[in-house]
Amino acid sequence: MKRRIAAPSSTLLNLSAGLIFVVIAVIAVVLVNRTMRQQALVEAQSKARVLFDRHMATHTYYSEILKPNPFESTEPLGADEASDPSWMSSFYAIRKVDQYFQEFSQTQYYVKDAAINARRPENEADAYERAFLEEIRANPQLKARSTVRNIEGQPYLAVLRPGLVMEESCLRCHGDPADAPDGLVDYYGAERGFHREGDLGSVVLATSIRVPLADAYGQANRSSLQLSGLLLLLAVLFAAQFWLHRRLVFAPLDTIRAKALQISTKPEHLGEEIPVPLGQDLANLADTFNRMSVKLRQDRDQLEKVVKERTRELQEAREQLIRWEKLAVLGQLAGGVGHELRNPLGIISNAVYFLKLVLPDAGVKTTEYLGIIENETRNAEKIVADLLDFSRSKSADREPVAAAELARRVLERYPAPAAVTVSVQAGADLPRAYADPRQMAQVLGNLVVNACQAMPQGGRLTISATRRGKEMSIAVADTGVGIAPENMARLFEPLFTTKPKGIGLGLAVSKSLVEANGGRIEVQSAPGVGSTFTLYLPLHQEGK
Amino acid sequence: MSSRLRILIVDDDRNMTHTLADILALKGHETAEAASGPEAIEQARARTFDLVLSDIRMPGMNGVELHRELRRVQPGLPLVLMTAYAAKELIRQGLEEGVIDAVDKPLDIQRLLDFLDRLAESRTITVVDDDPAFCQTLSDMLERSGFRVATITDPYADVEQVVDEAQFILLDIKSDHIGGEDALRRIRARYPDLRGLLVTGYRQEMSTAMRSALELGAYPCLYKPLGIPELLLTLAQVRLEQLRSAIKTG
Repeated sequence: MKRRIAAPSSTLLNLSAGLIFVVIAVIAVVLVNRTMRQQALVEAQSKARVLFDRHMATHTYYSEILKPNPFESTEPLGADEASDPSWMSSFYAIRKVDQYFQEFSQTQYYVKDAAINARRPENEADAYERAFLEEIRANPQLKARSTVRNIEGQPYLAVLRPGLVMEESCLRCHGDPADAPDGLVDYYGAERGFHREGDLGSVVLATSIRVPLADAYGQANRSSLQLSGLLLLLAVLFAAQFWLHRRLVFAPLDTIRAKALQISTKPEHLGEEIPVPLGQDLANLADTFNRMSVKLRQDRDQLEKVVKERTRELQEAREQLIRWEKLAVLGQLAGGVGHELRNPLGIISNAVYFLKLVLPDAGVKTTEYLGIIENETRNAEKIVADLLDFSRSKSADREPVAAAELARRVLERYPAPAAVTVSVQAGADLPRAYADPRQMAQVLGNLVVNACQAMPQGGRLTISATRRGKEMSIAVADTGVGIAPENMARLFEPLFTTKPKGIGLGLAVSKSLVEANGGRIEVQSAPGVGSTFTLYLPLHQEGK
Repeated sequence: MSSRLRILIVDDDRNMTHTLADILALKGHETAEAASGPEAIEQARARTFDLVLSDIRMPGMNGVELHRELRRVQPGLPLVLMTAYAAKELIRQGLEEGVIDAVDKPLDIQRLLDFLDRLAESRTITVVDDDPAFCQTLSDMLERSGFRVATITDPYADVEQVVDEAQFILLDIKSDHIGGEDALRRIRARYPDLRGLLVTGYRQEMSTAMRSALELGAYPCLYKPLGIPELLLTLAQVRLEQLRSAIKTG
C-alpha cells in the first residue's frame, strides 16, 4: 500500500480497514484452529473411552470367565502348578490383540497396562505413568488423567485410568516366586512381577491409552491454512480494488489537484494540461480541466495584451498631455511677450517710417541704416506674429476655399525670389475645401517662405492641388536642401528650428492651424533632393 | 478741396501717438493726440474730426467704450481700433457697434495711408435738389460734419456730372416732377453697383412714385423735412459698409 502522494484521510481509512481485516482474519483462523483441535480432543477422548471400555471388557472376560473355569476344572487334577499365559493372563491377551490390531490397522492407537515392576518389560510404567500410579496410591479418589503429550514429536491424547487393585488372589502369581505356578517362572523368569505383597489393596495398574492427534491437528491446520488462503485472497482482492481505485480515481484527482495547486501558486503554469486518464468520468473531468486551463491562459494572455496596449495608450496620452501643457505655458508666455513687444516695435517702425519721409535726401549710409532698422523691425514683427499666432486660440471661421485662389493670394503676399521658378497646378474644376481662408493662407505662406529659404541657390517651387477622396490635398514642393532624417520627427515641435534665424514656431503653428480646420499636414523629404509639405483639408459639402 | 483729413489719435503710449501724428502730418493730414478716452472726448467736443485712430486697451476707458461715447458727441465719426493684444471679444463687440475696422500693431503705415485716401473720397457728397435753398442749408450742415458737398439743382444734369467722384448722392424725388425719378433710373442703369445713393422727398407726395423707385433697388429713403441726426446716421451706416468692403477688397 505504498502511496506517492499522501491523501491523509483516505490513507488512514484504508490502513485502519486493512488492520481490522487482518485482526479479524487472524482471530478467525486461530478460533477455527482451536475449535477444530478441541473437537479432535473430544473425539480422541471418546475414542479413548471406547478403547478403555473395550480393554476393561477383555480384562473382565479373563478374570471372570476364562481364568476361574480352568482352575476349578483342573483343581481336582492337582494341576495347580500348571500355568499358561495364553489363557491365564488377560494382559497377555490384550497385548497380543493389540499387537494384531496394530498390524491390521494403520492407526497409532496405543493401549498399555502400565505397572511398576511389571512382569513384562513392555508393561513397565514410564515416568509419566509411574507418576500417575504413585499419585493414585496416595490419593485413591483420582479417577483419570488426560493430557496432550508430545511423544517423539507427535501429539497424542494421553489418558490414564486406574486399573486393578492388588488382591490376595493376585499374590499367587505375584508373591513369592516359589509359590508361583511353575510355568510362570519358566515363562517369565523369577525376577519381575514378584514380591508384591506390599501392594495389597492398592491400585497397581494404570491403563494408559494414547490417541494420536497428529491427523486431527493436521486437519485443523489444513483447514486453518485454507481459511487463511481464502482470507488472503480476499485481502489481495481488496488491495487490488484499492489499487485500481487509486490508479483510476485518486491518482487522476491527485494530478488535477496538484496541477490546480501549481497553477494557483505559479501563474506561468496556467495553460498546461494534464494527461487524460482511462475512466470516462475522470477523462471528462480532466478534459474540462484542460480546456479551462487553456482558456484561462488565453484569456489571461489576451488581458495582458489589452492591459499592455491600454498602458501604452495611456502613456502616450499622458505624454501628449504634458506636451500640450508645455505648449499652453509656452503659449501664454509667448502671447504675453509678443503683446508687450508689439507696442515698442510699432513705435520703432513708425519712427523709421517718419525718418525715411523727412530724410529723402539723406546720405547713402543713413539710408542704408534706416533700411537695416526697418528690416530688423520687420523680422522682429514676424517673430512676434508667430508667437501670437502660436498662443492665439485657433478657432477657425471656415468657409468654402478654392485652392487656386488661395495659392494666388499667398504667392502675391510672399513672392518667391527671382532665382526660384514657381508653378501652380490647380485645376479650376477642383472642388473647394472647407477651411478658414486667412489661416490657410498663413499656413501656405509659411510653407512657401520655408521652401524659398531651402533653395538659396534657386530651384523650383510647385504648389499643386488635387482631390483625394473626401479630402483636398495642397502640396508645396521645393527642390531645396531637404530635411535630415533625424529632424523629421521633431519638425512640427514648437521651438524646433534648423535655421540660424527664427524661433521655430512656423511649422508648429501651421500644424495646429490645419488641425483646427479638421485637416492634417504631412511631409516627405530627401536630403539634397527637396521637400514636399502636403495639407489635407476636408472638402466643402455642397448644399450645406 | 484737398484730401486733408482731421485725425484724432488716441493711445496711452505718447510715443505711439507722437510718431503716428508726425507721419500723418507729413502726409498732409491735420492731427490731434489724446492719451486717454476722456481726453479724446474732450477734444472731439471742441472740434470736428474726420477719423479717430484709437488703441483698444487703455486705462480707464477702452477703445470700444470711447467709440460709444464719441457717437454721442459726433454722430457718424469713423473710428478705427488699433490693437496689440488678442482682444477678440472686444473687437467683435466694437465691430457690431459700428467701428470700421481693427488693425494690428505695429501698423502697416502704407495700408493706413491707402485707407485714409479712401476715407477722404468717401467724404464727398452730391445733393441733387431743385430747391436751391434746401441745397444751401443742407450743404452747410453736411460740411460742418466733415463732408465735401456739391449741389446740383438741375435734375436733367448729366449723369456723369452728378456721380462725378462723389461717394454719396442725395436725390430728391417729387411726384409732380418726373425728373428725379428719371435721374434715378439713368444713374442706376449707368452705375448698377453704386451704393451711396439716398432718396429724399415728401412723404405725402411720393407714395406712388416711391414705390416704383424702390422697385428699382433698395436704396435708403429719407423724408422731408430731413432730420439731420437721422441723415448723418444713415450716411454713417452706408459709409461704414463702403469702407469695410473697401478694406476687404484692399
